[in-house]
Amino acid sequence: MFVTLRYHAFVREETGRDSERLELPIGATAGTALEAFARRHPTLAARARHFKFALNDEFAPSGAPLMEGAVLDLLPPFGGG
Amino acid sequence: MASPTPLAFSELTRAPLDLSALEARVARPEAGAVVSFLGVTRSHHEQRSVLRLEYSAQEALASKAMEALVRDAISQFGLTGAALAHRLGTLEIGEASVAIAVSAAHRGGAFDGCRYLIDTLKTSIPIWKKEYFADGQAAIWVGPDGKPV
Repeated sequence: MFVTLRYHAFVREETGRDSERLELPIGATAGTALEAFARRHPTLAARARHFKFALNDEFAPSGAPLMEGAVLDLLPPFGGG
Repeated sequence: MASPTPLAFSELTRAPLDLSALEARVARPEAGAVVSFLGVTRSHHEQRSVLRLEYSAQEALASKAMEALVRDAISQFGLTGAALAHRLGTLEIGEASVAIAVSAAHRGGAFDGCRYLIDTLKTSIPIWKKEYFADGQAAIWVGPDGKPV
């Protein structure tokens, strides 16, 4: 199945993209998608351990199951306020 | 007599923030206290002179999360009103990045509620900050504790 990862902050800068489509196996979770991301972008792999997730515009845990067409934001540590 | 519904307001905006407008929103006849906070961009980050800041967000989620945070503060601290505004885009030194106004019957709840809102916002809302330096060295993304991420 295909999911769309969306990138922000330094992830957007370092990958040079706002988003990326990934093919993942059925049953993949947010955590699985993050592992695929880390393999594809190894310079971000260490920092990826600190990312949170949003799935279809709601916060989601790493175990959240993904479905075809899901939109998963990788959220680096926040800096608001 | 039932209490009127507390005023809950939040927004992301690219326009300069207006704290007095937020204070007006939360004002209530039954509120004896209005407490407000402005987060202002500082000129230095660990002795390095800062030129400007850029704020960005996962806007759909940040809007929802700010709404939920405001309702949470109202509920926890018995507020009569809470209003939260965060700016996005490029900010010069001295401009406000975040504005908060809360009202309550008494000052205890108002001070505590305002503190809670700024403290919790920093770790719970998907907003990112990038700092640019006068010394020309690489800009950095800064996390909730003020340290580079």
